[in-house]
Amino acid sequence: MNAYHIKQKERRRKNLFRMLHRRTGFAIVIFLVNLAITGILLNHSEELELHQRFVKSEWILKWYGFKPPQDTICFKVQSTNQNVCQIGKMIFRENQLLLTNTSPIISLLKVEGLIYLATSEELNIYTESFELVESLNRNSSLPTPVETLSLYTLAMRDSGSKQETIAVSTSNKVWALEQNEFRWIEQPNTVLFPNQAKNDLIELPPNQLVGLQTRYLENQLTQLKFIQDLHSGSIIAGAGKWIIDLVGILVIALAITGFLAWQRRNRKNRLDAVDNT
Amino acid sequence: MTVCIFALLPFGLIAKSYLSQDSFVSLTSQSLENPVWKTKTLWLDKSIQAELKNILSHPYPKLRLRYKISTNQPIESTIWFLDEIGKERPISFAISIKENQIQLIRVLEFRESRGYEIHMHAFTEQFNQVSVSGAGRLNQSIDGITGATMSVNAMKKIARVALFLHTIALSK
Repeated sequence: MNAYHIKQKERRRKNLFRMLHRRTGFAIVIFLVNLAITGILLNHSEELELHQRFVKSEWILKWYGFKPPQDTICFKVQSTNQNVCQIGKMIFRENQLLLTNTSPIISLLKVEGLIYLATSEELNIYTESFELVESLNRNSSLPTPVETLSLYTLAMRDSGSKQETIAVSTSNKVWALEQNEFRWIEQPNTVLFPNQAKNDLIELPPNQLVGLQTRYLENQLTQLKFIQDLHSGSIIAGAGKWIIDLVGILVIALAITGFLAWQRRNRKNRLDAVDNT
Repeated sequence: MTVCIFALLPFGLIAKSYLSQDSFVSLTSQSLENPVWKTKTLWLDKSIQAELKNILSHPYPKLRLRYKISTNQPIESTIWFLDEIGKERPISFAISIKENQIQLIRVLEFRESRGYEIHMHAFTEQFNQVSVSGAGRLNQSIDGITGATMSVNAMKKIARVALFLHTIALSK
């Protein structure tokens, strides 16, 4: 092999090296852009309130495999056209999300302009426009698990007066809410019947049910979780993390090969400069 | 319209209860002479909500609050049960106040995924005897906890809220 062939072989090797470096760079550029953008977003996630915003895109939610529960329970708010519905662990009033992570809805009562919404673990009191007045739970002495919520006439022992109030029943006890001191008083030998009218329980028409299921889905995936998954590659189940790992390794390889190419060219330039002098 | 922002949260986390409201009242009573507590209601009107928004950066998501006030003491004490979101879910706090100073602050229920360390006594004791300065800030600095910044901030804000509500309650 003469000098010409050796030079040609060396040139082919260098070209192959450069081509590999270039093509690998092109191949991972999309991943790098993704990492950069999602990284910036994660860095500012609190200011952008990504943990409080939800992904609404139907196809992304489908990709994650979210499905709305089929079982719903809906109450009509007395003397209004409003519905309150539970789907899964969420409770909606029309399109407004009232509660998440909630236990099963027990009853809904409207008393003197206030709406009492009882789940087995909570009693939430709303105005007619569903502004939250107060929320009671086990921690604030609400007897739980609530089995029945009903109107009740409480006889005050000390004053002998009577008070129209609400009462709840747990497994074998009835408790009435004393409104002045706001404490639950056990009512022995009392049976509490729900005064939820049967026609307050309604079945949603199909189009409203679809709307409810859509609202449910639209509150499943926070933008923070979605961006974290994009950043880590977890959005592609199984292989995603490995792909991002591979990109990481390729970036390291590019840095090394880029440095070697730069060093080689630098050396060549220096030798050429010496030759010229 | 005040929307229950507590509802607009991700879900799936289990709450950790540290103390009940009744236990907190008993705890507060230990430092007083046989107090008699009366439950009162404070409606959060527009002017109160404006100040709460100033402190919390959002309106308090309830229209009324129940608080306890000691009725047989030379100096009235109040107890407040308040919720504030750390990052994603509400943390339930109890605060007792006397002479415009925090006597006791405790975490009743913690629902966040991290930052639970704020319930530890070593941390909550920093708030003892703290009041608000003229600028509306806490008059003592509170050491933070690494990894629990948002929960710590929530506790600092709720301390200011309770001190503000105490003055409102006594002025009524």
